[in-house]
Amino acid sequence: MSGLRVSSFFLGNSSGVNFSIVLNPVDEKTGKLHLANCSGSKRAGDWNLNVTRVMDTSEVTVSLTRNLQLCLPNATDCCTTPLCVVETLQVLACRDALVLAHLLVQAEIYANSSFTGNVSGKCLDSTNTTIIPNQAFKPLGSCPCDLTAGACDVRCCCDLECTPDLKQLFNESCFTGVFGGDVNPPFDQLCSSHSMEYTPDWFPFLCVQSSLNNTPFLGYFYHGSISTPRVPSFKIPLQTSPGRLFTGYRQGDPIITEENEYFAIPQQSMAGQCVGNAPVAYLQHFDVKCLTNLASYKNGLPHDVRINSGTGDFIKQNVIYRTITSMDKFKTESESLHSAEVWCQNVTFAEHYTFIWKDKNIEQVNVMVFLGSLCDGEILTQRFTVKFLSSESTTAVEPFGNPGYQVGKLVRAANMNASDTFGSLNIWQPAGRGLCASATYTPVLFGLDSFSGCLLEVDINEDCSLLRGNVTEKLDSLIQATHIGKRDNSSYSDLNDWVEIIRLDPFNSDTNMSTRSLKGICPDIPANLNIRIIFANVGAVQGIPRQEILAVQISFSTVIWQFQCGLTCENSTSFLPITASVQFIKVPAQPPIPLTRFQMNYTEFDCNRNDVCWPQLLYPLTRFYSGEPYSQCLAKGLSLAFLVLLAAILSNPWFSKLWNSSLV
Amino acid sequence: PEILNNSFQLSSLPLQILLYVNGVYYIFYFLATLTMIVYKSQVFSYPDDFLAPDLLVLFIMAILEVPRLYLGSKGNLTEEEAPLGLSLVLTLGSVVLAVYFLAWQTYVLRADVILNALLLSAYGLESGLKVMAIAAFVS
Repeated sequence: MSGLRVSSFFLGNSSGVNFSIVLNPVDEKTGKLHLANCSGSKRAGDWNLNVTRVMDTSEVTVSLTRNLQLCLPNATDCCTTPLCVVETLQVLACRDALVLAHLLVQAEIYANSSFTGNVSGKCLDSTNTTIIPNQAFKPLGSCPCDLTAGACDVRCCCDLECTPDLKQLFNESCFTGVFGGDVNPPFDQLCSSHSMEYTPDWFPFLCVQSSLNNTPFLGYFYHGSISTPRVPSFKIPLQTSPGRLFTGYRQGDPIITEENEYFAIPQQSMAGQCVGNAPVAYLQHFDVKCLTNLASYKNGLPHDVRINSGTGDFIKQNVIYRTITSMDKFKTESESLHSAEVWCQNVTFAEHYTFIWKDKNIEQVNVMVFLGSLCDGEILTQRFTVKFLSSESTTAVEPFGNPGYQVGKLVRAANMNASDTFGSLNIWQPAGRGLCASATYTPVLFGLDSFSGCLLEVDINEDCSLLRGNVTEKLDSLIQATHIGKRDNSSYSDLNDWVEIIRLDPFNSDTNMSTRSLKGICPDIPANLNIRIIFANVGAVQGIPRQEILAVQISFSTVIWQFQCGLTCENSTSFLPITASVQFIKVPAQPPIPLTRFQMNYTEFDCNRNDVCWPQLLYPLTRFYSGEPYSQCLAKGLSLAFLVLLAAILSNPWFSKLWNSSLV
Repeated sequence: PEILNNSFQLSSLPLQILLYVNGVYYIFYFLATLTMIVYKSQVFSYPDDFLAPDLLVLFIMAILEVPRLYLGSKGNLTEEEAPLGLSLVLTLGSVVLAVYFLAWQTYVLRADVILNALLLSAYGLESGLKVMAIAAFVS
């Protein structure tokens, strides 16, 4: 027990039992206990006795009430020496002047060491280095239970800071095992250990006779050396968010403002929605459209924030403000709130940033901000674009003359049946509530796998075949083309530049279907459109690979539509999500030349797939083969080597001379 | 001393027998100790650079053994004290190395103990016989 309070239990009927506490029950000279006297009280010196009776047992608590602060000598009511209290108490349980039980408590209490003074400076003790013994001979932690330095750990018998009389107190309940200091337990191969049930036949001869100083468990760890204590300084590092040295921007680095924060422009996150504080990466253009309404509108970074140019000085943004006149391109009115009392606010509709860069620095920032008024109930599509222009040329960074597709370019589509051969390949761009009625189209961009959809309102009484036709018509409106261009510069006059779209139309079996009289459930609705575009690398132009589209396939996946009822199936509308997904699949343009079986066509030492397995050939020098026990192979190899050696020696004529002379 | 060929034979027969047996036994001892060191190096972990001294001592012992036996045999047969004395000195060295294998090795197996004990006893007997032979030759 440690602390200023100890408790114990008195078992048995505690009616009529008096508990008392006696100080110094031991005679100083003889060391024997005084005769117990039942006339004590519940207080003795600085000690208190508390008894809580619970049914058949009583909990007896002895506590010390005195000040344990360390202070100067000659002062009162505090400790003059570190070892403050060394006392023996006796707790007696008496009934009618007859002692039923007694409990001896020996207390050794040290003074409370709390720091009164200024904590300052560094904890400096570089001369006090700990020498770590070489773990090949001594285990690193020879006494794992010695947790506190400078004091005795209770129940830790290997702790050197425990005085022998302290150790006597807990001698019977020492920690056992490795934690208690037995870090070198006898291992199984020792001759003196009888722990193993199964001892191999040769065990009597090949058991280890030597002492425990060399065990196989030593020497596996860190290779002993000197460890200097870490010097803790009390300086808390400043929380700088980007925390970089300014040597200029590299491609992809975030742009940092004057206050060491990220320069943020709303961008689209991975989940699809816009986040307001997304940092801008150097040399990374983007063009995002974000939906917002008046309730959730947030102002971006103010335009008077200066940006770190990369060399350490800061540049101002050159802002030009314009107001939008034709707001229809940006706004959609959702609910018809044409009342005069509408709350309107001036917000930014679009921001176009142009960063002019040179090498690793930003030279200029030009911003064009379009403002307009947004009223309550309207949904605004904000547009943010960022362009990085090199200061040498004023056109945006683009690879020159690459006829193939680049990631992000529009996929060329053509409708050979139409008169103007103009076609388009689109996917949904929903707005507002996401309904198909209000959704627009966005063209498919090369290399960007996309997935989008919208919600179609369906009546509960909808006829299934009508629904199927409706859905198919809506999805077909996305594909206004019959051919897709192989390259970015495919011309409309040359049919070889185009690949035909392979269409897998949904299985129209409404004639064969038994008329379902079930309302509200329609199977086989082709609600998901899958566009798969297969492309390949067909060469390179100026080091930039040229990509061409090889084939396009359009297929439909069917769903079972079921009317979603609320509490009661009223005659309201339910939503059917129809989706369109685009997937770009890369195929190798030419298959690689097949290597002959002897060549290392797989990684050098792959024994599973190669025909020749060099590591296994050199067994037992290399350990890769596992078909034969290593020891057997080694023995055979050694005896073979020995025989060869013997033959070489014996066949030498010098040896036969020596042999004859020694046998004389 | 027996009378043979009209001259007293001072060479000690037991010494010669012991030297011959020692030679054969040593070959067996060398091979057994070598394979046991190989076994120990696989089964147990040696502290860094402790395997090399063990092997080195074994090879030194083997190298010492050959001249030791040769000189001893030659000295006994030609009844000269000098080779026999040199052989005795080499025997002392071999005794030290055998004690190393018996007690100061990194891991001492029980088979090690048996082999080295036998070797030490052979050395002891040999030394005694050599001393007696030298005494016989000198006088």
